[in-house]
Amino acid sequence: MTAALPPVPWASSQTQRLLFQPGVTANPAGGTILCEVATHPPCRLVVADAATSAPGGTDPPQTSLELLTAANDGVPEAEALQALRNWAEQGRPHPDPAIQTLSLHGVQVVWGPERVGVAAPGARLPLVLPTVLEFVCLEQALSGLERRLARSWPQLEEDSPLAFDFDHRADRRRGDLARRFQEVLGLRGRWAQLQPPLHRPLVYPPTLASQVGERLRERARLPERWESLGSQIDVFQNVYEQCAQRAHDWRLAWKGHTLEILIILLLLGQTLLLVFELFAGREA
Amino acid sequence: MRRSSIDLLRTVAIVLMVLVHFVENLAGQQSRVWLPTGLAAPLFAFLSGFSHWLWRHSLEDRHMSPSEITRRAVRRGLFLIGLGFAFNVLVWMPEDTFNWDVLTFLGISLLILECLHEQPRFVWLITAGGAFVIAPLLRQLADYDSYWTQGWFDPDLTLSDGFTGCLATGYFPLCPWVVFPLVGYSVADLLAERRDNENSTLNRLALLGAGLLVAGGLAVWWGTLHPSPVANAMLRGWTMFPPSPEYITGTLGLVLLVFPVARRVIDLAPDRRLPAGLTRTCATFSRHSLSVYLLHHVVHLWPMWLISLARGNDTTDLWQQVTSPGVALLLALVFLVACQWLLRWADDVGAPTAESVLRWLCDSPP
Amino acid sequence: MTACRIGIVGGGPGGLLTAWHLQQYVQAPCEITILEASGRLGGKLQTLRFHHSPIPYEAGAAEFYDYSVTGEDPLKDLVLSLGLSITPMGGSAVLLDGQVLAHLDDIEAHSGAAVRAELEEFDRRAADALGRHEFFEADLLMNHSLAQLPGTFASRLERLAQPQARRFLETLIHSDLATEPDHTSVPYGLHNYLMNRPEYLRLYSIVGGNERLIEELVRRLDVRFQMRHRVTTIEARPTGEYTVTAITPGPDGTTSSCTRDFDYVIVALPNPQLRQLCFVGNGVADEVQRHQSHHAHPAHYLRMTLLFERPFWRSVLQESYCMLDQFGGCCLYDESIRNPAADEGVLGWLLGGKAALEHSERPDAELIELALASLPPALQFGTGLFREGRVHRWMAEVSALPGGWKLWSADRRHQPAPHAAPGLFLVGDYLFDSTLNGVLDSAGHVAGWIAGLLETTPDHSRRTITTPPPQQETLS
Repeated sequence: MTAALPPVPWASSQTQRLLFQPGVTANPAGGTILCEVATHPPCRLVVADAATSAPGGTDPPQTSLELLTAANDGVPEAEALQALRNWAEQGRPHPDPAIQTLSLHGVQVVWGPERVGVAAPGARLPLVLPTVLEFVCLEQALSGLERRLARSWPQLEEDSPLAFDFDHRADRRRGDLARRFQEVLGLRGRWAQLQPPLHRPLVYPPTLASQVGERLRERARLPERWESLGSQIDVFQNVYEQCAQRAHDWRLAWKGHTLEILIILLLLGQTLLLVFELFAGREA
Repeated sequence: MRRSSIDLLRTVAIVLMVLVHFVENLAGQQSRVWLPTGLAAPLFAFLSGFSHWLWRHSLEDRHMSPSEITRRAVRRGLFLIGLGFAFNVLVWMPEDTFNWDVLTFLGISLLILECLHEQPRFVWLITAGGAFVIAPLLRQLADYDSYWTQGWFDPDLTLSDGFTGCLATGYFPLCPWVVFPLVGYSVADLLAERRDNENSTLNRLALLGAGLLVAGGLAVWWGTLHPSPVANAMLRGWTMFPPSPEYITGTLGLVLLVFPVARRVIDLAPDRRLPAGLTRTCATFSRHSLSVYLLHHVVHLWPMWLISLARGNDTTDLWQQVTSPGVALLLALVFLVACQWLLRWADDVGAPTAESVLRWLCDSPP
Repeated sequence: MTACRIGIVGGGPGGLLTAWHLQQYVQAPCEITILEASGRLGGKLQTLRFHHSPIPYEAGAAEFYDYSVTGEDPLKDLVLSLGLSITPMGGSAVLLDGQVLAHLDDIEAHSGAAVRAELEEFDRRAADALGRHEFFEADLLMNHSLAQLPGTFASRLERLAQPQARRFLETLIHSDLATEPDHTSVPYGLHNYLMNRPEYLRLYSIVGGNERLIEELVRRLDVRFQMRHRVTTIEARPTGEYTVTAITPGPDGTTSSCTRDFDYVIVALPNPQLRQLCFVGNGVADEVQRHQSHHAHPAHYLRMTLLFERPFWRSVLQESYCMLDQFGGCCLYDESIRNPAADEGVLGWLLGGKAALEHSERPDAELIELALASLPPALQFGTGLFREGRVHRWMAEVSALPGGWKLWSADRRHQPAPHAAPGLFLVGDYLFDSTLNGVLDSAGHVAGWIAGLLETTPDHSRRTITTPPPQQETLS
């Protein structure tokens, strides 16, 4: 549901519903692509119209966002920021996570999990908007990876004993372990692809767009979160690599072990027969 | 959580056993038409292996140390072996000590399962297969018939007779009876591995069981059609003593057919439940199967021995001659009802049973 | 006990860093003495507080240069290894004609697209002329750069067609230069422009005040400090020893003189203060004087720091500093941005070069009034919130690198009289790039040199101590 606009005399404003598509090869929503991050497959922000699909229901699921763009010519900065904040916080069921705000050189930006608001002087709004959209795209991509990883921790704790010891019972889970390892590598690939846009060198001489973009990335701590995500992925990768190594070693040992067992069973059988023959001979 | 299918099947086995033993020991009747014999033991042995897997893994899920689990399993196995010997001495005759009846067989099977539990499933199945294959050979070597001249197992008290009796010639020799607990253990392991696809696995097991049952029947038919030295030695028809290959194959097939059906119909059918009374009855019998086994023997054998002794005759003078099969059957049913009541009372008041003694002796911490 | 005696004249960053390096490098027993004329250590690193507020402000060097973006940065490594936390500093805005020009779009809106295009072109050419490697290795490659880029920096600025572009650049870099563009070489001028590019250089300050570097160094130095010992004479004796004579204030305003003998003497004073020392020995004075004259390019800084009731400028100025077109171009620091919990605000004006020299004669109260008046119209409302002001003058305390001037070799720079006084060394930022990083490099060079000498000639400068050591001065 679109939140009601605050009673502020914006020179002009527009609200749009956007869909964030985290890595899809095609554009299933069919909307206008506003921003695309060059990952493979690319992450996109598209305009969702009435005919497009609802968020979720796709694989990976899309996220819906509301975007408010407003020209704040003649509006005091504090008033503009508060108006954007009110719009972003309206109707939220939970206060967490908190709405973030940025005010820089006449540009105000607020963003939260489902809403992004940008206010700038009319002439500068088209300059700043692409930077903000790129930031939203990157932030959503990073958040998506963080959520995926957070959901995987309980499974990692369950699998981690297999990084130390692997036995025949664990062999049943080999397929699952392989699938999870592949997922972790996929996550790492997506993570690595986010590095170039996140660690883009600072622009000098700066433009308003570059300053806003740098400040947004700094405020949302995107580079730090990216680093932290990498450390977490390292843990997952280490554990599943160890599991793979243990599984491989176990399989190798098992093949030799199988032969030994067969030999032992045959020898046992032979021994039994010999003993029986011995006893039978004595009886006779 | 108890599985109603296992309780029901174990109850069927116990009831069959009680009925057969009462009729056999009191009236000497071994009819198969209205009282099929030889079906309870395979089912019970299969379920013992299956239940042992469940018991072992429930302790593992509670993060009990492997050494503690092994300690308990070994103690249980030794307890059953000791109880088996004591049972033979006290309930039957001292000379029947080493007749390798079902208790000693189950105890030794527990020890074997404990030795093999860390091996992959195929090892259990190969061991079972090996025991199945080698059993007729061992019987040939040991001259099985020489131990059964009077229709019951009659060994000498020698080491060699004890050894051969345990492995090949006794009432429940390891070869081939160990097939059933090993297969039961393997089926439990297989179903746990394919938890997400259990219905399909059960279907395949039932199909396998049906195939084995047919194979057993075909082997019986073929043996009769083509008697030959090999057939005479290997294919002896549908006999429990000795446990012929046809018998083992057929009963294994029957068990593998009945078990998946019971599991699907009783446990996995969401809208179908056994009546509560039946569930409780089956659970009581299933939980106290050892007590029932001991009790029913005492109840129907000791009076015969005591009366014979009181009359100054041989202890086994009245064996198989006490009454008619119908009366014996009735007595068996009365016993079952009384036993059910007694066991429920014991559960309610916490009275000691064979199982509680077993747990007290074998499961107490060091 | 046998130990090598090393005397260091000057308790500023040069002297302390030299002592630090000597402690790291010298394996042989060594007795280091630092003679400081004033009652405090730290020289140009000075963090002070107002009477009316505990907010610290930098009276001297306000920022450190972070070279780690292009290469090794031993100074930053040292700061971090001492357990000090750092906070980044940055600022790209220029206040021109009362307008805040924070980025190219502002410049275009204020001065037109042509000015924007010219500034972008200047930036591209500057980066082409001085790459990151040349920037980082400026000391090593300076002579090469001087040959490649002859002339003064002013001549480079005069090539700009747009006067507004020239004004913008002059305002942008004037306070960094500490002198005028016509007294600065092209490489040095470009160096000071390219400092603003994040991929070349970043700035940082030490949490709690830059003077914490001095405090942490002093805590870890096992040296003798002789405070209020103004060195007057350094004599190079034929035995190879050096006798240092210092004057100390006594009670009732009297002074007394004391002498000490050293095996090595390191003079870590600003270049102009070398003239106040008397060097005795065979030709030592002439050589030192020649050395001093060659490096005598005094530059000046004047710092005015004002305390306000609150940081009223934050809606307009949101970075650590910006450039103001007043006073011929000065740097306006937001000192209080490093103390976000404080209610008060502190602004600091840093004037450099001629403007600093001219204004240094004015009384403090007048300078404070001028500073308040220099605020752009949008911030004039804040002058009523003024509470306290401080002025600090650093006249001839730094050096510039003028146009056409060539650097001597590193050894030559640090040993003014290699034959007459081989144990006499000089340490200072003026021997490198006039930065604290340069001071560290200079100190490291001399300390490594002495450590090498002690290793190769172990008996050269060891004496048996027969007299008890003098009373240790308490540090102020």
